[in-house]
Amino acid sequence: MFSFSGSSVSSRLMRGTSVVVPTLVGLFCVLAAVMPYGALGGIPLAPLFPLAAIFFFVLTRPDQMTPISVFVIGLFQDLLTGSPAGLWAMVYLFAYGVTAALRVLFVGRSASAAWPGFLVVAGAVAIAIWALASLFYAQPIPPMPVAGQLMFTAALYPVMAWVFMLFLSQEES
Amino acid sequence: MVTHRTSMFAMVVVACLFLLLDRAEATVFERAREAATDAVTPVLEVFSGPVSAVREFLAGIQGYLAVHEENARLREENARLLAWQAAAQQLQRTVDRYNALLNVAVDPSLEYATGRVVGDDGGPFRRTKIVNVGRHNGVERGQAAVDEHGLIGRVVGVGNDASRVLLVTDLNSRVPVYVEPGRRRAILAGDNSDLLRLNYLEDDEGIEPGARVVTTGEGGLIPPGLPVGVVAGEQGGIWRVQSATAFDSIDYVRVLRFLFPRGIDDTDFGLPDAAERIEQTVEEGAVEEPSQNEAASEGNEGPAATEVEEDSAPVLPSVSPALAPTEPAEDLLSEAPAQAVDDAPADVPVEGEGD
Repeated sequence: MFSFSGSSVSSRLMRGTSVVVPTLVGLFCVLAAVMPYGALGGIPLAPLFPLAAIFFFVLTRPDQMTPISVFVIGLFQDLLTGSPAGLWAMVYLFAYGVTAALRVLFVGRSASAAWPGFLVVAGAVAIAIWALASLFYAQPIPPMPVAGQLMFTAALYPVMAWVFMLFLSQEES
Repeated sequence: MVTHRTSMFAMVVVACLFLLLDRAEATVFERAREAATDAVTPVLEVFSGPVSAVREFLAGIQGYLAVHEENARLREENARLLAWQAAAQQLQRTVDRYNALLNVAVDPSLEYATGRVVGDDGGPFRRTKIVNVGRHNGVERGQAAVDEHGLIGRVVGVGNDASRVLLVTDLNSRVPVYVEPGRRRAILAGDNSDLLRLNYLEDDEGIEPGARVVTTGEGGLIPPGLPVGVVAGEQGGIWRVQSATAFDSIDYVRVLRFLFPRGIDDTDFGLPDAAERIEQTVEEGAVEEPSQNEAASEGNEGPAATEVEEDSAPVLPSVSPALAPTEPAEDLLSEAPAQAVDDAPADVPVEGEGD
């Protein structure tokens, strides 16, 4: 028989909520990424917030940032930006794979220590975006906007990681 | 970890499947895009306001640094434009008068819906904007979007309260245009850079940097005569066009609800009927048969020309709607004859006087 004591229900609810927190943060990051920040010299000034969220949560909460979560975040970005459905999902799944492979090197370290790892992931993602988009559109897309946006994202990663840390500490307390 | 590997593999397969289905232009994804855009637009409207304000503030700081040079440039431009204004007013009066005499059917269906840019594509391989006007405001897919400088793109997705505009700089954008000296046709294509390409240019002899590029109106979705930019120069055998619009800082967009004239009877082109009427009129001796050039340049055949034009297909306006006055075209039509008579120069015969 199930017991329905108040404390167990609330703890289950809390656990259920915390499971989807990384996904919700990722979806919110997509919304933040499509704000009209503008561009500078053709390079979008919108950092790839979802990429930073995926990297951060794969390191800190790997059981909650699953491939399904990553796919949902990527597909949401595809739908909002009018990109081919599955393109950002594929890019983020690739980022997930690279991050999961590097995880053993950075697990348990501070956000600033994980920064070099993010640089590696951002570089790999830049190549993946360029290759996938060029393949899809059957012509090479200009590489500078891709490289510029990923460099911008990588430069801002410590700040974004700090915000995610604050969010997690609030949630845990 | 094994479970994650399995789900990872499954998700990659699903993503590939989606990509292939989207390539086949599955409408289900378009509907999903419209639904997603509609759902998040209220959120974007709230948060995009402060973001735009910060962006404008930063742009304002840059502006302060160059305020003296900007002031001098604007004074010089103002003096030049004042001279143009007088010439434009004179030309407008002449055009109104000719339109009235020839009974030119200025397209009456050009309306617009103005919206604020609430979202960007946020990515490096798309050039789109989300605007907070949609189906409820009469926006439809394919309609042209303009700002104060001219064409910026066209609507590619419409929700109830929001729509997505594909900028002319996007890799997938193709717009039929002509380069003004000689009206040489070309296809204006984007490649995700700030400079646009002129593909399939008819003949590039005599084209120089600074030549205006405007839309042809072919296809029936984008009105003719919308300015797009000016020729910037040749790069690697391809002519490039520089738009006057700063695509990165567009705040407001006007979607033109242009309805291409329809109802043309393909079984009867009107020409035989028109020719018969001309012959009839000439036989009756009402007017002397004018040559085509005379009919276009002289005003005293007004009534005959009017009669012939009644059944022919309407002629579209050649003035740029984006830069034209914002009153409805009906008002221009109704005011044109009176204004034409009042303001007609003394040496041009007024309708009826020549008979």
